[in-house]
Amino acid sequence: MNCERAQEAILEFGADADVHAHVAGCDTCRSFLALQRSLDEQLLVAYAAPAVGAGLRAGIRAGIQDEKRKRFGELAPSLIAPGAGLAVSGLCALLAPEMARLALGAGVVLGVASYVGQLLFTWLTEELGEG
Amino acid sequence: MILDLYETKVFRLALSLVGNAARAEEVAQDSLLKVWQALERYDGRAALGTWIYTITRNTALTHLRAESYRRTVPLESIAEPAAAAVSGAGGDVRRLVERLPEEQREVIVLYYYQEKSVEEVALMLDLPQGTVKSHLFRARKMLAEMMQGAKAS
Repeated sequence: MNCERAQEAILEFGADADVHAHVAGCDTCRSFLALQRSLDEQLLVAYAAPAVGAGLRAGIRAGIQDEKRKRFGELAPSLIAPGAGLAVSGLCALLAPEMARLALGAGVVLGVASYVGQLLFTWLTEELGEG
Repeated sequence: MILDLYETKVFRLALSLVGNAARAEEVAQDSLLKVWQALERYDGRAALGTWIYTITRNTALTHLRAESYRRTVPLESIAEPAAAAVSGAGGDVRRLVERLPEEQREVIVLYYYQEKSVEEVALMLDLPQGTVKSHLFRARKMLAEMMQGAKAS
């Protein structure tokens, strides 16, 4: 083994028995190995990663909560119409029990239809906006 | 779950890219929030780690660009940017690392932050492991030369 191959192996963290045998009898490679070990130790000290601050986790959780609130705020208006429709049909069913089935059935069908209609309308306006 | 698995790794990747713990926390927070927002669109084509690290790298770059627009850099700090920030143990070697080409610097810093895992560094930087090893090899060689040069002078 020559010095070039030995130093390459040291740089590749691949110093095997052959390399160590060469290093034992070669001043140049011995000092190269010592230099690399010292460099490795200094780099370990210089780039020991600091611990993650407790604020990071709290910040992420707060961000997620904000996002959830924002999403709910965006969803809420589209639930108002079908929700109100269902509430009115429920009231009708209470006031006129003989027509309860019809009132509730109509309320559910119209509530679902209005929600789907709103979703379609939103989707279409977004598609047209992007187009 | 994702937070537990990736919080530290994302922070370390951000730290290697922005070089400052406070800013790295900002970047890590933004990145993990973006991950949470985009999770329903994650299609599994790339490994989850690769996808998260890509988001982190892009977020760090956005922060760095925004920072460079905001900040007016004094001329005297351009010559040796790390010098002012470095003090104490490891300061000398940090100064040498700052002089490495960018791709070698990123690899060597992450390699030590990630407790010497070539595999993890490759995943974080989206590079083949062979390329990471090659950057490490060149960086260590160059650092050794710089150290010898410093000793000789």
